[in-house]
Amino acid sequence: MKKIFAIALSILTTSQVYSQNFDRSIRPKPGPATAINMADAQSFTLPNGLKVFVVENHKLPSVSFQIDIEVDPALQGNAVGYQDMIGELMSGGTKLKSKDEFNKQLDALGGSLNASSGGVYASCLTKRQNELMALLSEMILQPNFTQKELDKIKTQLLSNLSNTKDDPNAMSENLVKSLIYGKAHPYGEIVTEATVNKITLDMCKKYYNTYYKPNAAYMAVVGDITLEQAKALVTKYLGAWKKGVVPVAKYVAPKNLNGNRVTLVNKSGAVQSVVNVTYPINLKYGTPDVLKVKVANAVLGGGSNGRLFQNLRETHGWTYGSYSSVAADKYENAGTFSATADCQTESTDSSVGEILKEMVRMRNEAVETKLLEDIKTNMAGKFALSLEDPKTLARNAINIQKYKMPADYYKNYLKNLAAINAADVLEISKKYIKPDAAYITVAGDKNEVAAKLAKYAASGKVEYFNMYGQAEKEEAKVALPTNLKGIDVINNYIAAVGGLENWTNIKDITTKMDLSVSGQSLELVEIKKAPNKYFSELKGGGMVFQKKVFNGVKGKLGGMQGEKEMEAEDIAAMKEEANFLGEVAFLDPSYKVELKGTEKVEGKDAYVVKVTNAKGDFKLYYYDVASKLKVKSSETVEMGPGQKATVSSFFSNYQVAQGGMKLPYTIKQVAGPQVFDIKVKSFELNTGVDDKIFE
Amino acid sequence: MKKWMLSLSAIAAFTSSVFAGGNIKFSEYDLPNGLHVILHEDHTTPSVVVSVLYHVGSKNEDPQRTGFAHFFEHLMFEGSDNIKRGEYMKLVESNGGVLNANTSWDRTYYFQQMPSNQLELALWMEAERMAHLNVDSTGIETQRKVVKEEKKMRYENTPYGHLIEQVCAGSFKVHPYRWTPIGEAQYIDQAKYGEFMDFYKLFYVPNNATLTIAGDFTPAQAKAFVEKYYGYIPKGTQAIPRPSEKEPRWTAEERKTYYDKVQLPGVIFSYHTPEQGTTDAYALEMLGNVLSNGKSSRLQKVIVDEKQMAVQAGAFPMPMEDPGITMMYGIANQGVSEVDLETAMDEVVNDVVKNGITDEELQKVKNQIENGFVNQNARLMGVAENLANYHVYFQNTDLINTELDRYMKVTKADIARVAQQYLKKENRLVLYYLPKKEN
Repeated sequence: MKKIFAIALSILTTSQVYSQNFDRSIRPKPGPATAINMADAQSFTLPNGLKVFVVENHKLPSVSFQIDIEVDPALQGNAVGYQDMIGELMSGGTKLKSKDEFNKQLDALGGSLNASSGGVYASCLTKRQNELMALLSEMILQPNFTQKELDKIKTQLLSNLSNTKDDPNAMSENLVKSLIYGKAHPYGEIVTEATVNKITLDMCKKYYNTYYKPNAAYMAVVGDITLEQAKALVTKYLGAWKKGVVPVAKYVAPKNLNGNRVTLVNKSGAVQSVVNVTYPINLKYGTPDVLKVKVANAVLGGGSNGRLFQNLRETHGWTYGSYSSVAADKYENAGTFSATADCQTESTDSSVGEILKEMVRMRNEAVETKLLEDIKTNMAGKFALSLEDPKTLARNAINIQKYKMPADYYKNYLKNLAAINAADVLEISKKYIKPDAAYITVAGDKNEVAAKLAKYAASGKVEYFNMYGQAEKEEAKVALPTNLKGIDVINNYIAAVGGLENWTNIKDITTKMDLSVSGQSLELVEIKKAPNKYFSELKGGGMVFQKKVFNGVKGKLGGMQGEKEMEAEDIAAMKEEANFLGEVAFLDPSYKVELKGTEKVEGKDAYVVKVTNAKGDFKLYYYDVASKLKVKSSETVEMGPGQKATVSSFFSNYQVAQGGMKLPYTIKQVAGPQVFDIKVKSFELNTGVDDKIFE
Repeated sequence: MKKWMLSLSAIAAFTSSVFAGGNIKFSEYDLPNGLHVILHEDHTTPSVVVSVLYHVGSKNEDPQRTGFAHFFEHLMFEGSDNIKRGEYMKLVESNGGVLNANTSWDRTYYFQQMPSNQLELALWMEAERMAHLNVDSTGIETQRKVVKEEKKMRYENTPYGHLIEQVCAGSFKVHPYRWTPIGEAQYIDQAKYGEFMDFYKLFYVPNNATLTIAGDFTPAQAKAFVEKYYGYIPKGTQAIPRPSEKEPRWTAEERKTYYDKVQLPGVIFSYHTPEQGTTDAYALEMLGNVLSNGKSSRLQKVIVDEKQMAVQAGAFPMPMEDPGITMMYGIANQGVSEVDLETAMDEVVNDVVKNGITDEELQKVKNQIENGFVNQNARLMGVAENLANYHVYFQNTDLINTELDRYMKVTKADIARVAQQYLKKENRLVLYYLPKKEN
């Protein structure tokens, strides 16, 4: 009986669970909107001029202190970087405590205290606020700048700089800073090894003594603390901070462009390009334009709703994300517009094209009502979400003071946002979105992307920069002789290594090599016989790692995994590899041979020749301008589905071998992270190799 | 300036956060279909977080399909029977919300924060993709490309981007932690439509999910919405597989070298350590703090500051559901060799193994942990994720309030013991992450 009841009950519950008695295609409507409650920050000013803003929030038993130093400092000139070291020097010990002692006491509080040239941030549990403020005060009022600390910081900075050499984002950032702002503006000053080496302790001390003043500072106190407690705390610990006269520097305003410039920093072998379409805008904080520009920007590239994201990611899949941004600034014409994407190398030019197209569209078409409403709701939502963090209220209050914004700017934010219509967006887009007066910056593989980008430049030319945003010297390139063709370079090479006759006299060639990779030594023997027979064997420690044989029609691959017949694909590749004639084959009209320019290889100028076979596959060959010899070859190979890598070979140490041929005795092959160093032990020509070994 | 550096926050994103604060009120219950629901009411600001944690991560993948769980996370934004392709993100954003998701070795987590009057919409949307995900071939093709670009951006085009992948590959021989959530691109290309649907039916079921609602709502209303939108979703019909591989104990130190486009050599020690939640894991985490949290911590003070051998050094446990690893790393200063850096790091390790830690250090670490524990719950998003993690990993949601006690119980002797027990050469991988020779 009991059992039957249990079953009945379970059927009942099941049917209840699985019944879906509503139309799930109907989207729920929002409930009544809840008003946003925006409290005012409270504030007071100390006699020394320190302006303090307090936001009480007692949700968690913790408190934070932030001090912003707001100054217009002198330019750093040839010692760029010293202003960034102020914070670390201030953290290097005080007049009263060694660095170790200070850090020990600080860490023991379990909170944090960090200084920079722009100010100080500290936080801890409320119960430890006195101890923390005591340390903060000591750090600001009595820092002990020492040469020893400066030397350490410089060493660290130099190491960091060397690491950024491979960071495409750092390359891109430097390029943009130098193009938009240049050296006459503090935002355009770029740290290099040379500028770091110019930094002295006196410069740092002078900066601290001149600018670290309470009358140039704004402080936010936020969290589990009352106004009265904050007043007492700040007065006690920062009341003795002495005020002073803080000088104000003037800077040259960034210039607008007349046409697009395409600029590139080379990162050879890069799997992606970091693309930015950017230029300066004159947009001051707190002006009525700001909110309108932000709306226009959101339409273009503010998030996953934005047109850039929808176009470049969702439609084309060229990038993980494409966004645009606009930044207001306190200085003249020092705000920026920027539209970015980290995109596939092969889609770099298409990505730039689509970004520009979307920018043009912003200027020509009124935004659809639905999209505009969505964007406004999104911005209103984000504004509301930002208020979850009580620090936002303090920051808003400080911004109003710092940038002399209208006192009710944030109070009216939602009202002003709601009033923006499609006509406003169109008008503001025409004023601020400039698809024909922008820097198009790319950090990526020059050989892969540059040629296709030139069309976007008003000059029709790509300009090259190094990783510090400095223009690459033009003399790095030798001018191409006007009559020189790719095929001439090939003929010159053939002549240089011994001439066509010598070359065509070769019937077989056996090359014995020592190969070293990651410290391991291997032996490689390669035998080629006319017209296209091939044998190679890679051995080490008594084991055969890889063996290839090919008789011109079919072949076998062998090695540690056993032996297998070559498949059609391998055979096609083998025919290329077995090409007995080398460059002589390229004289055949089925190959397309193009001279692409010059490039430095191992510091010397070389002609770059692109050779494309009948199937459309190509390789790049580099021939030294002076000696005519081949110094490099490179090709892109599939490493797996969708994964490509560049394999480059470098040839050097040419010596006259048997038969009067000049051949390279040192070869380096670079394939992804692997580097193979190859030393040729011997080239043996026309030894009458037995055909059997190719079977 | 520090952007190139090994981004610890990126790594932290893969690990579950273990700190939480002392007074978080919540209620929880199960629907008959097995969906676990956690509610945390907080009316401070008019917004609400809705999140779903699916207990599936890269460790549940077939070794021939690595990257699958993360790829599937992208597909979950593709749409449902009632949400068109590409509309999911738009719907949240155009209603004033923010959203995202992430995938770790152990779980996949989806979250959105919306104005509180959109709670019902948020719940409907998550239910839509739990019940009726709709993916077509266009969506799969696009996301294949997008994920490849994500991989390039985060790992291949970023200095030291392959570090975690190399450490995992070297540290685990048997356990599926040997690959990382981003996986290998070719497997995603090889996967067939049917495999995506099988994965969905197996893991994306209410009995493998935890729904968390945090913020400005009334529980009665939220429960009614949950019943309406999730109550009818059928329970999964298959048992959910969990990997059972045990990483065998190592008997000798393993060494590995990896070359990448970086300028400065990196040295990484990776020690096998027990799963999160164990006494030893808490002690090891505190030991990690002694070594690298704060400027007075040992690696910072000795390796970076005094000896100036590294631009950056640190130690961090990677808390995982199954036994995992604790990593220590140093990025050499210019002119410092990997060999010398390793020796210096070993001296720091050997010292703590031989002499343990001081009372002063123990107190400092407790204060640091307490501070972190409180502040991890400063935002609703953090609260929601912590609640879900505690439930899924420990079956004890209240650890959000009480886990601090477990740290506070750790003694100097515990830390000395775990140092001796786990920081042994035969228990570790040493990875050299070296600059690739220039062309």
